[in-house]
Amino acid sequence: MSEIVIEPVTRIEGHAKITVFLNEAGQVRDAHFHVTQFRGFERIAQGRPMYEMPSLMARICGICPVSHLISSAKACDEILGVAVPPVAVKLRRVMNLAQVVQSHALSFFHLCSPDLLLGFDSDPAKRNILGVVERRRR
Amino acid sequence: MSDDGGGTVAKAKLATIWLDGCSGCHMSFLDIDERLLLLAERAELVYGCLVDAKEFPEGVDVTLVEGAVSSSDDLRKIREVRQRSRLVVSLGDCAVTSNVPGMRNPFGPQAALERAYVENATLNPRIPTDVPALLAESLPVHAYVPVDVFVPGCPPTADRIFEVVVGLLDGHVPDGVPKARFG
Repeated sequence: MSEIVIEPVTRIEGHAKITVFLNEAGQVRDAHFHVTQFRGFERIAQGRPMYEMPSLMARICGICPVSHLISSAKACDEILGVAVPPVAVKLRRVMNLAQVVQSHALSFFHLCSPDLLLGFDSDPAKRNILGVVERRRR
Repeated sequence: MSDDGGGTVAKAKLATIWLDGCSGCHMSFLDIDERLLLLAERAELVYGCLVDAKEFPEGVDVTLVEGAVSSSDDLRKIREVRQRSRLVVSLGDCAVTSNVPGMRNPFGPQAALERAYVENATLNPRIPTDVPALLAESLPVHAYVPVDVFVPGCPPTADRIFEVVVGLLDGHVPDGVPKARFG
């Protein structure tokens, strides 16, 4: 039995490794997706001041910090038993949607465009955003 | 950068690596926006989460390191990075002080793993074993290898990152932290 290991998995939003396990006939027997980073926010949050939470939780992910920040703010609202004014709800919604736009732009232009513009079979050493820039110049 | 003898100037080799951080520093790097075009004239990106190279190459001029050293894997990577890079930059508070990852240090990794994977689990409570082992403490990069430049900030601003990278490509180490931003 052999394994195919893909590590690191690049150009994704997160740390990961993929292992594909093959049987004697070389067919796929199993596949694991490993999340290889762990910081322990579930424990770190315990005993810390509530007002730290939104900005601390934003640090779960630098690519989608807004989702974590708003979730944390909502959790804090519930703990305090307060109702957020309608305007604030809308502002949070706008902020979240803006992040969706920003994150999709990042994924499309910085992460996927090398595959789309240079091609999946292009030289891996050039298949990145600076390679796209170079192609544009030629 | 050096002349390769053929009349063209060889580009500097720039690498980035992401250890135990949130990738926010890499996002701030991308926030240099159109200045990426200027950077592309000066350097090629030879390794990092934005490129497809699987092996950290030899002879890298400048490596930007995001994140603290928290796992056996981080430690192996940072030693390899140091060996193969002329200049190592600690980019952002996690690399500089261990910041958020370091918040688990008072109670250790086992308590953090128990909380996340056992106490909070509603299905299959189990601490994963097929992932890199966590070190007893999450420490800044310079706790393990010499660091040439420190760029604090959570994250450092795009302007600051651009200034530091261009400065290093020009051959001078930027001074101090006058434009650092915290919080």
